[in-house]
Amino acid sequence: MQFSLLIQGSPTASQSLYSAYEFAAAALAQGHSIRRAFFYQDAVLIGNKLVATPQDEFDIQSAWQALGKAHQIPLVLCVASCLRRGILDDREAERFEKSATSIAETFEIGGLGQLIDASLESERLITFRP
Amino acid sequence: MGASVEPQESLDAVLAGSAFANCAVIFLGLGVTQLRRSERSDFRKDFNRGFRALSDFEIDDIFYCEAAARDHGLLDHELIVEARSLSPNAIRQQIIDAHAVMSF
Repeated sequence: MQFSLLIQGSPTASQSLYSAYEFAAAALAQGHSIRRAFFYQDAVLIGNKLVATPQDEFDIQSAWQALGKAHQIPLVLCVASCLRRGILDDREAERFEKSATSIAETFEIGGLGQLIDASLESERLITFRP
Repeated sequence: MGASVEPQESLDAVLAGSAFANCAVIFLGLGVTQLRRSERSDFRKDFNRGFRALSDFEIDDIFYCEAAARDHGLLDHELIVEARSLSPNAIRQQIIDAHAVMSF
């Protein structure tokens, strides 16, 4: 079965990113596929490259990056959510005249249309709220 | 709620969805208070006026949970948009009948 994921909770203040990661890993291990992971609201903070996770803690950002790369899953951060929370790629930094970018590799910034596409084209859309 | 940006971002998702599919909106739990015309925050623009845009986007199926409205003292004449109340059972049926459900 083909799934898409809608993830909404903050990586530090909720379990959302962890539950979604475990779901994705389990689904892939059973031979299912993930069309797209769409990160919305505070979940876009998973794509902040300036985060430095303590060495003895689980690095949820690296885990998502590895999963995305290994299975070619687009990891899409909502552009409007990103702008409010300081996640910028080259294009947005230039557009808003900011001095730096902050998006981590493997993540991409996209619009809500990609969420709607995920819900219409996948067999199941699974939501992970805070 | 209050000064949180979440209701605004939820509305954005609904408006985006309406460009591609037939959408209904259901307000549940504390979410029903967003429908109150006088609901304001000093820190955010009056996002709930944006609910008036729903009809411009051809979203006419706007519902709220009658039990939640009772719990939060929401009265019919306070609504910022034309919304219909549904019983919890009717809400369940709406969710069952939908092709996709997004919850915020």
